[in-house]
Amino acid sequence: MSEPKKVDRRKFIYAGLGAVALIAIGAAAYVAMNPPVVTQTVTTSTTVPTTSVVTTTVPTTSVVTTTVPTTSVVTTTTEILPPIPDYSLAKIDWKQFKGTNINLISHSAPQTEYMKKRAPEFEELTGIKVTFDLYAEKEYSDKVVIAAQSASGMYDVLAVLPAYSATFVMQKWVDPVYKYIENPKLCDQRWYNLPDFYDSALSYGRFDPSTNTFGVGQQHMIPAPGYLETLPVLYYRKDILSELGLKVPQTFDELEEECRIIKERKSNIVPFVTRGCRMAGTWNIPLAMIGCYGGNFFDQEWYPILNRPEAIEAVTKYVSLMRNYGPPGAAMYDYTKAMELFKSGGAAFYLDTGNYYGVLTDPATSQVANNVGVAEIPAGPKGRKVNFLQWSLAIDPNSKNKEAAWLFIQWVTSAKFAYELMAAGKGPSPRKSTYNERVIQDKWGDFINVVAASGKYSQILPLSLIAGKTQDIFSSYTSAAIDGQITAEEACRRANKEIYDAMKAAGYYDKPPKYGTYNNGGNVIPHSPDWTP
Amino acid sequence: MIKVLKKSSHIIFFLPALIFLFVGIAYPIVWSINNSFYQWIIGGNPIFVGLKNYYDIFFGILSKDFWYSVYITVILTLLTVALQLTIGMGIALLIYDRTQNKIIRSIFLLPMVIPPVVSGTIWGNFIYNPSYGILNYVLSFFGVAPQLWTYSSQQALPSVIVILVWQWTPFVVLLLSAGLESLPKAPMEAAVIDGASSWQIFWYVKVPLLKPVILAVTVLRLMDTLRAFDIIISTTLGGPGRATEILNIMTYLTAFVHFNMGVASALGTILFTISLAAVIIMLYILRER
Repeated sequence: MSEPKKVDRRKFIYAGLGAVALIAIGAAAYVAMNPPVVTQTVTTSTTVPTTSVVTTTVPTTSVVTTTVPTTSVVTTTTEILPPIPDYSLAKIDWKQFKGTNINLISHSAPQTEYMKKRAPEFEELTGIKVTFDLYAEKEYSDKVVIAAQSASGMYDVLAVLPAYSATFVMQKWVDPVYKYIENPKLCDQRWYNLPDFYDSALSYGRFDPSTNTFGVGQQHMIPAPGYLETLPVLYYRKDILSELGLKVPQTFDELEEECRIIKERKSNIVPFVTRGCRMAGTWNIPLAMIGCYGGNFFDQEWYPILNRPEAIEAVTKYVSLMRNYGPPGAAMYDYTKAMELFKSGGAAFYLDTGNYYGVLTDPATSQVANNVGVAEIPAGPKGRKVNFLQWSLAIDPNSKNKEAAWLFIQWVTSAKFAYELMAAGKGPSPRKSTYNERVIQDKWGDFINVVAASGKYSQILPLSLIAGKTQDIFSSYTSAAIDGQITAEEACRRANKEIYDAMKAAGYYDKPPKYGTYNNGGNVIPHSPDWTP
Repeated sequence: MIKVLKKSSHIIFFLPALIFLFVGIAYPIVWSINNSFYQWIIGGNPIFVGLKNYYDIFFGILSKDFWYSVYITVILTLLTVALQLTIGMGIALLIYDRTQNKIIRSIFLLPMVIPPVVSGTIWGNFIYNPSYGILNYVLSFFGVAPQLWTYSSQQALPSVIVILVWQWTPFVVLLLSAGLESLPKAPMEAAVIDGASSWQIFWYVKVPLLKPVILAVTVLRLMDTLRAFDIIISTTLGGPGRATEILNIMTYLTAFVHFNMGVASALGTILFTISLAAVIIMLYILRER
């Protein structure tokens, strides 16, 4: 019995070894027979030093920056470009990186899907193939951080979340784009027209390394097309308001009063809905309200001031609107759930990003498309404030195809593309020139008025190096307050203490200061000597 | 050469598994334990701080959150495993000697084949939603007032436990019914002749004989539930407030939202140690049988 078994095993071992040897010989033969692969890698590695030579010459061009305006003045006298110039009018060689492949990581959204759809045209123009890795937002935000942190150069173009903007530029996870803009071989500045972007949109990509300050200084990232996010605006149901004889509320007190009337007279409608859950950008809503009540998240020296009366009053109003007039389980409502409720006709007022205007007024996706009105955020005792958010596109510093990546960014953020994307109804443009077009004015009428008005009182997010953490702390307490576990005042005080501890650990109160002062374009509040956590 | 190969063939064949074990399991664990001794915010340079992360977690600024998470984790794990075992045993006893049990067994297995993230999304958005969820709608026929389920801090934890029990009880049923089928018939027949009631047969004959299977199932479920992540992340993300923030969710948030890799590694190491301890204790009991 044991005899044949033994032979079997031996045979098996030999067969296995034979297979391994065969595979090894095959692999060796394959490598030997495909020398082009080897030479190809050699050529790319030899081209790398040349590109790095290009980047080292950049500082000289950046010295020239001061003279750039004069050259642009000279050229404007020779030839006049249309307000939205075609891609072919750019005076650069689009084909200079023909045959390159670049990878892009972003979240999946109407804007990015539209970019993906148009990418073959870019390939036709430049010979550069773009691969899109689009993920759901949460998955994307984990992946992009890992990609940036691991310095693998896996992706060439990164889409950067508004809330992560400061972290990305301050950690040097992006290759500054100003180097490429100032290189005449890579960018036709007059055609590209950087000042055409709204200044607040550009500020999300600015960084001054000398003072370690985000929001000012040189351009490190470019505003992504299809985004010009005003958060929040007030959506309302025209039919419900006219049925009950109500006006569009101008203040938060009026809003609460109208919610009370709607709750009394229409029991099947949720009067008010917005984001209330932990994370998922929920902090945007109370942040804007704190601005309307005259407060801010930090004082000028990065000390949290959520325990001041203005902030407590604003958060109390937010919590009471959600608790008394929001949907059941409001403490778990993220933007998707809130939007679904409003779209299906379940809510009368909806406070959320202006970006949803297209979706909410599209009869294909919204049951209330014809009855949606949009208005500015209601005012608090100190007027109005809204958050301005901007997605950006950036180049990974470890990418092997940085110049090709820049060509793609230049193409996709050009005035032409931004216009086409907005005309297709996919998202608002961050460029001023887009809004002068008749097509856009007809299609986005109400929205343009609200955005134009809110441009006068917008603030950017309180983006420290640890913005993700401060956001999580603040929204976990506001969510707990909406849930009824603690009062709004307690939520503010406890969040303030925890955020102070986190900021202290991150080195924000070190002497001498490691970071520049805090200014988000909101109410700048000087640091008071009797400040307490 | 051939002789050497022949002699060491067992090593050669063992090598792939060894490499996988090292690259896929041992190296990440060692690396993560190493990281836990550093103060390391993503992007910054790791600074060696010794046991400071552990001190912060157990006694320092993170201790309140940590012990709260431990409390939530323990409650969730104990309740879930106890319910899974009780319900699983009941169902296993019902189906194990039925003739058509293959079909019934397949039906009972259905929840297990749905990916947890999908079932979490379905439960969280379509079953538990207080406004348009199907559960409140069905309950309204029986005159039950609408409940908040995962949308309120009081009901979130029990609601999550229900999903976990629904998803993984089939696994318990599968193993226990297989165990019941393999039991020897003689002791049962002897007990019947001695006039034992069916409860007595179950408690004094079947359960002692089944003990190894029950222990194995308990170990597997305990380990899995301690690491329950996908269901919670897709239903509540640790909320409302911090009502369902088990250790795993806390670790995830620390790493990928707060970008604090040092503390996250320390939390991961602690969770790993707890799981390991639980398994060693269970295996020890198992060996005694």
